Amino acid sequence: MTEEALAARPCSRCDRPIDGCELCEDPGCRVPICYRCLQVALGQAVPQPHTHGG
Amino acid sequence: MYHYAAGKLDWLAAGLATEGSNALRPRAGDVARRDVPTAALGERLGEVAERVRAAGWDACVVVNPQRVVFGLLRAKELAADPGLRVEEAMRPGPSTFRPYVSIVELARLMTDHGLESSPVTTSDGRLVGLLRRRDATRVAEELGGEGGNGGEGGGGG
Repeated sequence: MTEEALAARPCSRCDRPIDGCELCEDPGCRVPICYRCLQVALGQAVPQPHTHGG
Repeated sequence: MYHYAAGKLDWLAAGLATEGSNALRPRAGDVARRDVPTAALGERLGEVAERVRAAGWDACVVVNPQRVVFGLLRAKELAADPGLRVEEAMRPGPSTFRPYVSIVELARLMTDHGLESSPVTTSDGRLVGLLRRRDATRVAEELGGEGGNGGEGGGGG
């Protein structure tokens, strides 16, 4: 997979474009997750109606 | 200037006593191994690797004198050039988790992302222990689906 293709991969939970997986930082991660979704998954934050601003 | 006032989650993150039914569920801080070897930034990798192996470990947490986590040395890093300084070989700024994170969710995430181990730290970054995936998955399986977040928060850093 090219570097551009890796960079364009979205968060596996919210589809937001991210630079890389917040958890494992592996460029080949099959289930990349953004910081916000990681916080929600761990119970640190609650899902917001407007996930990324608004 | 912002003065941070410690709250309920910081109490939990410090590993202090809790009560209630939710307190009975094992969490990251309960399962993390507190006897994990540590190393300082300026040490030679060869000496650290020898010490870690002698202690029966394949990972080591890099901390400062206040035990604030700076990096992680997993098996791959420990096998690097023994002449390197620890700070040259370590994985800097590893993902860390607070001690109150649900062990079930954490085991799932560590499995999905192929993480063999992750440091557990307090809110101010001080090492609590190293959570190994095999320990997390074993406890999660014993719980058999119990032990979710249960209303208390988790935390990654």
